[in-house]
Amino acid sequence: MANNTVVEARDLTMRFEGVVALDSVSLNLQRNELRCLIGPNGAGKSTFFKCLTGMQTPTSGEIFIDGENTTGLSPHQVARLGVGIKTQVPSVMSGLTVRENIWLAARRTNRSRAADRIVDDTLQRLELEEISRSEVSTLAHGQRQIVELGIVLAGEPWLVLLDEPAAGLTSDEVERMVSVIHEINKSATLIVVEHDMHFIRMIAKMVTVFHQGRVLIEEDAETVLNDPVVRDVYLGKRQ
Amino acid sequence: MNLIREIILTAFVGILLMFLLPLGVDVFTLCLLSIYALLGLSLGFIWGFGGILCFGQAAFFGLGAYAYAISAINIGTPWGPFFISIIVPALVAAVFGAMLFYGRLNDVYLAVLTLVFTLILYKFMNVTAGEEYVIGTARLGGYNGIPGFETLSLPWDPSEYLYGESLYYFCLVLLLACYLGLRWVLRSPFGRIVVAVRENELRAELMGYDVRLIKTAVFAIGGGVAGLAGCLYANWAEIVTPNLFSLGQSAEIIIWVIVGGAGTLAGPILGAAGLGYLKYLLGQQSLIDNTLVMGAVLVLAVLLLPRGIFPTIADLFQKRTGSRSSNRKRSSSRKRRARRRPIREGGRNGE
Amino acid sequence: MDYAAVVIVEICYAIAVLVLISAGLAVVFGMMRVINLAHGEFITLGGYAAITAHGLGVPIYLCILIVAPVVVGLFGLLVERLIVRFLYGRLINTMLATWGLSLLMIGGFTMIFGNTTTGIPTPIAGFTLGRYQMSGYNLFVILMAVVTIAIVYGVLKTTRAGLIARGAMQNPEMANAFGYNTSRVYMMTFTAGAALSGLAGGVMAPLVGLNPASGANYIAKSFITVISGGTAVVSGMLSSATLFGAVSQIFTFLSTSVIGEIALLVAAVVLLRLLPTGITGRFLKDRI
Repeated sequence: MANNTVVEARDLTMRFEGVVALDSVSLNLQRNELRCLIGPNGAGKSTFFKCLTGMQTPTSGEIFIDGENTTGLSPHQVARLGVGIKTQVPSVMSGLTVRENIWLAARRTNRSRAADRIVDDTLQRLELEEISRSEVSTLAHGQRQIVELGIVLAGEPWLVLLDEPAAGLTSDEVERMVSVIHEINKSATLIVVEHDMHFIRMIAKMVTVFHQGRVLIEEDAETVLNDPVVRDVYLGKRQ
Repeated sequence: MNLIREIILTAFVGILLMFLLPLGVDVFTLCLLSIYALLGLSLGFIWGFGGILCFGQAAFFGLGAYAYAISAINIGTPWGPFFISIIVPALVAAVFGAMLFYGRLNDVYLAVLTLVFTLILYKFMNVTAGEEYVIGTARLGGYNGIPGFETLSLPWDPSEYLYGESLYYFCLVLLLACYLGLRWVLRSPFGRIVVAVRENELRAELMGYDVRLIKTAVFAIGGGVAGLAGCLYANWAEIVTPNLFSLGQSAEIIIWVIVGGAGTLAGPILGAAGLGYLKYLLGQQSLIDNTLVMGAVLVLAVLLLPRGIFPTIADLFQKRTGSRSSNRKRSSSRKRRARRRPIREGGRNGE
Repeated sequence: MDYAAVVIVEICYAIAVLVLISAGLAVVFGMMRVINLAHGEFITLGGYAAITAHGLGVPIYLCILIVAPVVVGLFGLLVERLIVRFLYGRLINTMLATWGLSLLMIGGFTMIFGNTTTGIPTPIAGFTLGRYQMSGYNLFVILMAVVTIAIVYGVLKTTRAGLIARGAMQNPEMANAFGYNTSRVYMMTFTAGAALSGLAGGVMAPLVGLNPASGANYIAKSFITVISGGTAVVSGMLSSATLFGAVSQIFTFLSTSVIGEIALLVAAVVLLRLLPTGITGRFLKDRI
């Protein structure tokens, strides 16, 4: 098991002013796994995500990515390990064009010419060629989500962290997102934080359910989605 | 291709201006205006492109001037000090900037600290009148400043000093060189990353760029250019005084950039030269106070022309001529429109 | 023994001055998130108002305590209506516009009062404490600082207006929904802040020679006191004024007053670097 574990969280705890957002959460991820983190609002999944990406430092506990201790590193250092990160609200450079956005991601690890090639590939892969010269601020929300995904892919990550990629998408766009995620998973390990049960049904293999800052259950998608406790937790909050 | 065309065009316009301007305005004033333009350019770069609103750009201007004066007295020849006057402010900006950006200070805190930094220098320089304040053989001289240092001369003929017309040409050539240099920086991958950081710090960071380092570098470049302006000022005025560090000086630089338009490089240059000339004209009369006019200009510019005069006129012009000829032009005008708000607010508003 | 008393009074005085010159800015920043860079000139205007009224034969305490705050309060009202209200929510733009206003006022003072230094005599005689000469007026300044703090705290904490103001600042939409006119609340708050600046100007007038550029002496100190304090109006201002007042006075004793001021500025840079959200942003949350 040890060799194939690429993400390991040990006893992560996060306290804000007396509120415990994460209560000694441990989690292991195998190479090329596709893992969904779900849970109602305030369950701690977003905090966990932010700890993984370096946007927050846990109060205690440790994180290892590919064997390296990343606790307390800043986001750019985490990203440089080959981790692609998509935030909940699309984080893009609104004043730049789609192409420029993706180019900047590709340029960090490549020289300019190689970066150009990667950009062309990425644009094609995500069917963004038509809008490649549009400024991102002029795009619809769904398109921006895809652009951000393009930014993530252009960095050629081996580990991809996605926070609510389906939020605010139309059902057509959701389907496209699902196929993109499956394609990413061919070459990379994935962690997807998600809210939308329907979406999870479409992509998930393994699911970890967060509840009140703890891991409630960790099983394959089918078992979890049919689990009465999970339903209670979820529906109780949502309805 | 485009870059070469732009360089040729800029050089052409620059050289044309270089010879036309002295027909209307005396070279002594023109020289000061081109120094102001260089100073405006330095803030235009770090604010308009780096998204760093520095309320104390005068600090690096003053440091450049003092570094030149002090080292010229100690060394005795002008060209070593010339380079020292660029390197010292750039280094100070790098250290101070690192302190700010590695501490992740933004917006209002950045503004306060840069302002306070200038004020510390101002207060300190004002009390250095005593005998004990000496660097090498140069006395700092308190509020009287430092006079009587060696000014720039031809490297191959030290008896041929640069003053009057020759100093003016020298300043203008350096202004052109800095303008083209910064254009080149902005077109390089580094420059694109700088703009990316301004557009979205978090995203740049998630891409793996070290935002703190990039901002520090931008700040240092701006500091170096401001220092060069200070050096030229020292050569023009032949004296340096603590007033170079004053709040009023910092305010003026910001006014130039706002009026000229942040987000362009040419705007701050034109803003600095234009307002500098206005100030010169106002200095000729005693009816209206100079500071009052500058203040009114700033208030009105913020309220009525949030994007600056230069971009506004450029857009109007493009709208009228219905310029659809080249793809590049269209996208750049659109870009300018979209930048409208974020630049002034120092990039991001909240997290 | 006498010396210790002198030192303590001097430190209290330094703190009191910081409180006085920062109060107006603290109210406006803490409540409205607006930074008024013309704050120093508001104080100067208070000083000029007091001096002018005194020249017209108005009794000195009336000049200091009534004329100065009323004049500056009214001026603040004008500024809010003409400039600031268009820029709410845009912190940097407000700073820039009020910096313009500051230059405009400096120019105006120069044209009206001339580029000379003026002042009024101190109304309270000095006294001796053991071997030391003490200024009685300094004690008055300390008293005024205490009164100012008490007024700000009292208004915010106990009055209906204070409650409405706090509510409107916390959540403007909610306050609107309750039927309060937030635009008016902002206007009143800015005016009150300006009046406090005017009071400071009046109280300081007998102490300092006033010239058109005097504002520069106040703005940096009040600015950093407020920013370092954080957004809690009273506790933030008190804690940072105490810290900076003590630092600057101690360095003044050890060296000169200019070194004291430089020490204050350096302390502020270090503090903000360590606590980027100010003292109350870190330690004293949810206070006023």
